[in-house]
Amino acid sequence: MEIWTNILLLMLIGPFMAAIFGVFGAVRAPKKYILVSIGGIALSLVCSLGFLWILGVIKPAGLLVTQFAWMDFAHSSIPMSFVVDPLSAVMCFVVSFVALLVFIFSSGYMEHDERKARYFCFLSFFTGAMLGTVVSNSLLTFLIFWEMMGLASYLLIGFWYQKPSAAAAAQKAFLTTRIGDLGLLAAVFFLYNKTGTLLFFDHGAGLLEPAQIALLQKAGLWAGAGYLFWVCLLAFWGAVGKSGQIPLHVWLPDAMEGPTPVSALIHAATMVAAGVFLMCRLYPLYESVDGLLTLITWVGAITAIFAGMIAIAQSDIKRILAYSTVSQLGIMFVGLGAGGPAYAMFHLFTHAFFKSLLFLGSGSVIHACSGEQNIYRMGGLKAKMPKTFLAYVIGAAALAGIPLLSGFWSKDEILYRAFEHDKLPFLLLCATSLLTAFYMTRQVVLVFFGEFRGTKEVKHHLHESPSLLTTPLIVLAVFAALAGLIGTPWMNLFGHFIHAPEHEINVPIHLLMMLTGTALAFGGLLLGVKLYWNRSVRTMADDPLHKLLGSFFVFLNERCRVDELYEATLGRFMDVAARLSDYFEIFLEFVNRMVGGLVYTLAWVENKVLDEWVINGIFSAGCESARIKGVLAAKFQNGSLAFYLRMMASGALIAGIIYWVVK
Amino acid sequence: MTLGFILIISAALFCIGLFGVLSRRNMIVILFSIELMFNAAHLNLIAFWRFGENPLAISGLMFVLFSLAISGAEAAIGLALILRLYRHYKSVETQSITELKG
Amino acid sequence: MPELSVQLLIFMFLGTVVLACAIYAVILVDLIRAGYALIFSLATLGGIYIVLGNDFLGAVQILLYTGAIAVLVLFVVMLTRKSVDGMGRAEKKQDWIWGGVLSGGLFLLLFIGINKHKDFASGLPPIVPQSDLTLQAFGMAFTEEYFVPLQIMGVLLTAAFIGAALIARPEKKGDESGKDMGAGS
Repeated sequence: MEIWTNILLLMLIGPFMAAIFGVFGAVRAPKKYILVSIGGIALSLVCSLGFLWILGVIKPAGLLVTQFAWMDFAHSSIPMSFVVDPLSAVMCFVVSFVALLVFIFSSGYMEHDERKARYFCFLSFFTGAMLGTVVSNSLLTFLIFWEMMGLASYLLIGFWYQKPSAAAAAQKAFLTTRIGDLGLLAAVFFLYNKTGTLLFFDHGAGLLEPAQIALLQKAGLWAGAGYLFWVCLLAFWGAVGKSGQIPLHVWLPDAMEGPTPVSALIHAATMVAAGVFLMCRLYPLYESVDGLLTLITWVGAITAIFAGMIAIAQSDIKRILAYSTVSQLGIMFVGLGAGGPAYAMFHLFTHAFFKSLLFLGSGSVIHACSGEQNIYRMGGLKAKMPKTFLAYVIGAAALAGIPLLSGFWSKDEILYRAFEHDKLPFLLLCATSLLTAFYMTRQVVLVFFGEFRGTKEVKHHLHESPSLLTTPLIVLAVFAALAGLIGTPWMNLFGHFIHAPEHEINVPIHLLMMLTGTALAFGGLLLGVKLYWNRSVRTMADDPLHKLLGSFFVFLNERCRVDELYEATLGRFMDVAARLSDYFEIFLEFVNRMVGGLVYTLAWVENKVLDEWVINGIFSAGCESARIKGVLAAKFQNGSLAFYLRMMASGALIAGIIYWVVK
Repeated sequence: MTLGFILIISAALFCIGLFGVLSRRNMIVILFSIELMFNAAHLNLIAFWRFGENPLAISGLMFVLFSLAISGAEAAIGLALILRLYRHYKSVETQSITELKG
Repeated sequence: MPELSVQLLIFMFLGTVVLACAIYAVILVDLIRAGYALIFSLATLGGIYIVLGNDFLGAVQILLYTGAIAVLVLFVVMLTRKSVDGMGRAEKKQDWIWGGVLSGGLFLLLFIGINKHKDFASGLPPIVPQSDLTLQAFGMAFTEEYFVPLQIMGVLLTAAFIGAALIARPEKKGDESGKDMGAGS
């Protein structure tokens, strides 16, 4: 099956080549470069469609794995390896499709930005990295692309780096995901240590294959839990970081400082979903450990409700959507923990469409309002921006879970599994669904209905966005509406494709779930309408919710002060640690100086003692003795003839005596 | 008259000469003493020749003859030197000529 | 104890004279007197030579020393009189001690050495008739066996004579220090 490796190569090369072009001088011809980068993404989309075709229609026997040796040691080697299985193929499609639409949207949105060529370069780089992540067969390759994604996210969030808040947000995102990445890295190390392989699928010897899993299960206990438990926990921590679950969710809302299309692509559809994807990929490992799936479910549920609560009190259009994303990711994790990869993937699939739709729609709104992002200063945009309005409403409805739209189907599946498995997370999920519907209604009503509450200038400039912006919205709206139909319980194409295990469908419970979902959705909708219809809410004080919840509302608006909590605890801790390090360094410096001084003193002493006294002394003494002897000898040379004669005579006499004595 | 007797005389003569060389400060007297020592040596030689194995060999005499001649030459040169020194240093005392010292 | 004979007496007398005059020569302050003593001593030594049997040598000795060298010595003494006239003894006690010790030591050494040898106690062999030691024999020896030494001696004496003349030559006018002495051109 050689053709698929070529397709894989093309798929990855498209965006990366576009990025490289961007680095080397696309700045001179930005418009042409934008077309090139869009072309790259389109190529990737075609390739992913090709994969879907290959896997869906042609259905090859065996797994499509390719690898090449990267580092060869004496007895082992670390290869770079790629795999295309249904999981990867679905992700490829989602990523490239949404990316293409985002690229097209961006070409209009970023038209007036002078660094737009750079923007497209980064965006292409990101897309290439994401695609690389999903087709990786080796944890090494996976990590490489994962880190690339982190870098791209940093570059894109901080794209408008002159804004200090943007630069800070980029740093925050990078560092927070880094904390998660440490866990993932540690997990990789431990896996390699025990199994000696980093490959997922390797003709039976891969990490996800039964042999290695059995090996890992047999590996000893650490601190009460098994080796595999710790490895999976660490990997989950990595996913928590990337997907913005509690406690590492703090970077996602701040990431809204970046351009809106970036938020749409990265922080709605793809990068944050990479954490979920990782979990789905490593699911065979998680299946084999007791208790971890429950943990995942709980983390997801708690995150979902927490983020949902914060979302209802936000006033920035993008912040609401950001917290919504966090909440929906929590739901995905619940689906993974309670059901399996198929459920999480399905929700990811539908979420990608409607969330990116919502983000792009908000981008369109922001564009129309000349940069205004506060929903209290919007309103009545329905008349001015009909296309945007229509698309947005469809997206909002899908998110809320209005029946027959995509979100309904995927959330329904998850509710069902949660109900079957863990009751309490199920209840949390229900509450979350209610909140979701509520805050989306709130947002839609405040933005599109009623009277315009902004400044006169903005009102003057209100207009529908150009087609470059609205076309992607419409396309996404169609998908948001209809994509769910491939995953209905009776005709689960999606599930079959992903090779989800066949569950017995308990029809009554399932219908109950559907009804519950519908009820919750409509309930939230009505609540929102009741509170916000025909109200002129200009400030936070005017907000009806504020009147209802009082200071709790303010607390939620301040995002439950999680950042402040981190600053007070971790921040202080880091401060103290830094100070201690500083003192330690001063101490070291001191020691260094002392040692230096000691060495210097020793050298001085050596100089004085050895060089001056001893060596010089010896030398001087030697010279002195020679001098004295010379002086002594010179006394014999006194010029006196009589003296010479006497000496000669004495010498001869003594010689004679000696001779006579000897003889 | 034994050989030893003559040898004692020559030894005494030699020691007198040595005494003069070592103790007198006047250079001319030193020269006298050197002459005495020479002659003592000659006497010694003659004594040994006369009392020796071959008292008729002429080589003994010859030896002494030539030695005499040489001592004479030496005396002459020594005296010339003394004259010169006297002219320069205005003195024939050994202690006044001490410029060549270390 | 050697037998007392006329020869021995004469010899003892002559020996005493030689030694006495030698002592005078060495001790006297007045150089002319000392010179006279020297001459006398050496002449007597020549007498000893004659007593020992070779008159030729004795004659040569007297001729040489009293005739030539003594005259030379007296000349020099007279030329250098200025420095020693009326000065008295220049020697200090230390000098006498040095001389006395060293020469005494040597005499002691020689005396003991001579007495130890038993050979020296033998008597004087009879004097052979002078048939082999005539003047003729000398002349023959000089021209045959000892010709080269004679010539060399001649050269030596000539060199000594010239050298002495050069060294003692008077200085040029106005040049007291004798700059042109040098190595003796």
